[in-house]
Amino acid sequence: MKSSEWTKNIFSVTYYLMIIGWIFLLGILLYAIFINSGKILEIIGDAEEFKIKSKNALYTFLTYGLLSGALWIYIIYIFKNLIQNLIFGPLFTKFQIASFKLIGQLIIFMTILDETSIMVVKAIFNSRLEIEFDIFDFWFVIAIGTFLIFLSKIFNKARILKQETELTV
Amino acid sequence: MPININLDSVLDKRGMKSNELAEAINITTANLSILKTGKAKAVRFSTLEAICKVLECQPGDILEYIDNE
Repeated sequence: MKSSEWTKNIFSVTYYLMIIGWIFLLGILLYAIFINSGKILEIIGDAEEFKIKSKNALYTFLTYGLLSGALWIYIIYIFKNLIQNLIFGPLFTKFQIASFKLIGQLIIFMTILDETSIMVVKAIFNSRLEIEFDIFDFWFVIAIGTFLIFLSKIFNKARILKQETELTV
Repeated sequence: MPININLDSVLDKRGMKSNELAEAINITTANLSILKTGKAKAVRFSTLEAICKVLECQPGDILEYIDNE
């Protein structure tokens, strides 16, 4: 199997796994709201970054997880379409440039938002004010986002060069 | 663009059609149309040379600079 096919398949599998995960999370939220929140609190009460002690904290945590998850799924969806377009379509199109830029911007936005929201949740529900800028969870992801924006600029220049070459008589 | 292409008038003077010129200089009619309509970003010296040879003219007869300011 070609590397391009592998990349396409990896993104497709990731996309569908994320959708399944998102539906599972939605199920947990609905279960917590309508059936038994105590059981869910027991299971995910000791989240990695902070402790979830109240119902409100649980609902906030799960709702934010759903919103954040939906945006990450959208990012993977654009990525999946972009990879498909890069493999099967012509190179340096406006769609590819816009997609690279949008993915980069969304990755940076989501990483900052995730970090900020963890800080806010810790401050509200655990009464402690701290913010972590982990090298892999934060800076590395920000670097990937920045690189994708940079790549969109390179693609834009390539598009202009391609256009000039095509319009040379 | 401030560069005008006067290929149509030169062709009229020589009594030649676009497709005949395209065939004579070995480019497609689509590319000749790009050149005539001013959509071309660049013209190869080889193309210019071929046009001048077939139409027996100078590059200045085909290309004209117009100051828009």
